[in-house]
Amino acid sequence: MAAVEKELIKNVKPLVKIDGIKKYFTKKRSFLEKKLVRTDDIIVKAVDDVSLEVYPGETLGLVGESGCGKSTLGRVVLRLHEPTMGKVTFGGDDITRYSKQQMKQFRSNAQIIFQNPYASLNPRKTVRNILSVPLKSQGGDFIKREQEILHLLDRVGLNKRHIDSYPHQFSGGQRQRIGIARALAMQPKFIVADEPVSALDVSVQAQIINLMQELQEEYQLTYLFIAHDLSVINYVSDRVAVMYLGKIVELATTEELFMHPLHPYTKALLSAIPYVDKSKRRERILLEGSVPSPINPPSGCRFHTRCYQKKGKICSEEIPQLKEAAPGHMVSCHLLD
Amino acid sequence: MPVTKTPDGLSEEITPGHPLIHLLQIKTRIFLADFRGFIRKLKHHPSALIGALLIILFLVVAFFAPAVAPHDPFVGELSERLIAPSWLEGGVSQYILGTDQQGRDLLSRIIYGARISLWVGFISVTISVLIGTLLGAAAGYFRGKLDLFLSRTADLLLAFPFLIFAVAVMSFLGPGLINLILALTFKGWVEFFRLVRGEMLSEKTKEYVEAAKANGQSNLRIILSEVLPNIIHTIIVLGTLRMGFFIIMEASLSFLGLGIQPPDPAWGSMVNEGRQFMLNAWWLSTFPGAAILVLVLSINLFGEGLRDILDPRLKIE
Repeated sequence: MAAVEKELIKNVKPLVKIDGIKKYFTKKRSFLEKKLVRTDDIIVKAVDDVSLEVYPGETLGLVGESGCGKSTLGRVVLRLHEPTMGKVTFGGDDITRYSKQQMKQFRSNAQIIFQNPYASLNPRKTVRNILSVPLKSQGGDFIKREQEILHLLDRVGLNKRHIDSYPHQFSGGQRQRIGIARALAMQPKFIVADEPVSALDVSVQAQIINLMQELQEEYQLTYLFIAHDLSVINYVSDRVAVMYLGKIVELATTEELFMHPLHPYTKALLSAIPYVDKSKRRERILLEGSVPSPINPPSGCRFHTRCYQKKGKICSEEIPQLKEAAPGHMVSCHLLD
Repeated sequence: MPVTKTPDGLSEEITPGHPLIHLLQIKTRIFLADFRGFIRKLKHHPSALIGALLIILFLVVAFFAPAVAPHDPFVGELSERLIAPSWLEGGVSQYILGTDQQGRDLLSRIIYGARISLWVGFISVTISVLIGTLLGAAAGYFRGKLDLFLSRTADLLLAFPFLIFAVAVMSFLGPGLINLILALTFKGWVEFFRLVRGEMLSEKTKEYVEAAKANGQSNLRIILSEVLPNIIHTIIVLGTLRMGFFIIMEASLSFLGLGIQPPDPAWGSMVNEGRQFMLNAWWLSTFPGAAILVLVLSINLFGEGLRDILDPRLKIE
């Protein structure tokens, strides 16, 4: 399997290529504040120089703690946020330079599924209204749209009688199905799934994940699957990227990453997965302190303040580059130099 | 397939027939269900119900004023001036609330005065809502320089007391109905601006707005068809409450002689005219004053009730 995948990756062009993306959020200080308090604008480095490639048909998992910038990255890829620097190419075209007209085209190719199924559906709209918005942009008359809505509902496992119901009449899992149907209605090639199951019950999580995998096979979808739950990532992803404070620290195929984690942060993350089976348990690595603020990220390696395998001065002075440590296994850590 | 809840009897089997007609039927059914729900909640809210009934009474009386009023409000018999209300000594059954200094029937003048108060209140609230909502939605959605400019303008206007500001504007523009409405809306939009801007700021961060963006909807469509329906109920509540306030402002300006001019029967100017006769004809000021009180009270009761009834949290959870 892994060999086939590697072969695939060598020959296939990436569908989405994220190239040196930076996303800084600035909170501007007013003139008076600057003069009187002598403070500067606050810059939050949510995503700081991230490069990734997503290949057609694969699921790329993106894990990291909350606040590490994974959701921001997902939104930049879809240009829901404008990147501060860098570019995103989709099928070879730079989408950050798209005109309004081209963006419309792109919107139908790339969609998003949201984390919170309670906030992602407009509470004042019925399922019909929610689903007709994407369908309207596809053209087609009313009757065709009506059929398409019924088809979509059926496809995501909802009863056609739900068509005139409001979101608050559904359970969390059903709402997420509506969210999936809405994304699917645009007939996308690429879907950013922003923690699509983390707000759901574990039993419902499995149903939604299975649905997403069925749909992936049926429509040849490519997923960028953002999550903080490692067991979910392990189950769905072909490859996994680990993010820490706005940077990718490790990137490998799922099997490789879970078997041979190289970055100290990844090791610590993996050691936190609870196992019932005693033989599978790893020694728990407890990280000290909490995630530093992205407003003033640590110098050098961002992880050096909490790293238990710190090498020395170099860790706090030099920013480690993402390097290939094993075939297809990228790590950014000075330990491997 | 697990069916969770059957929603208010809406999703029975899809009936045959043309889908457009079907959609129309459904929309009507949703509307009727909403309306029935509203009436049901109103019935369980005594103060809102009383307010609503009184407002309806005022509206009917104002609308059918020519039919309801027993006399012409503009023409009086000078020989019959300052007659006391009918139940008092010296009262005549012909003039239920008595007559004024020109012999005009007080009740008829109050009835016609309701037209002015309701009209000024309604028009100035409507214009304020339109301006405030438009600017507030734009400022909250687009932020940036526009928001900065509008917010500072709003702060500036809020720094003035309403009545003093209105007096200043009226003395600049001169009296009259249209100028009165202008003076009220000149500052009146600010409350709606602040409300809508704030609501927009909080709605904008919700994921359904991002979903609409990802679906390729334009900013205008997102504001109008996604966000506004979610905040319209707060606008309605504030609009109702502000209407009571505008009616008081209209009465105050007319009382000061800056609003509606005699002989037009505005309640405020009637109170002012009657002031001179306070000692021997107390009814001249009292009854128009009471009319202002009752109308504004009922509007406020209804507005406060609406706040409870339309609260989406009570509806959804």
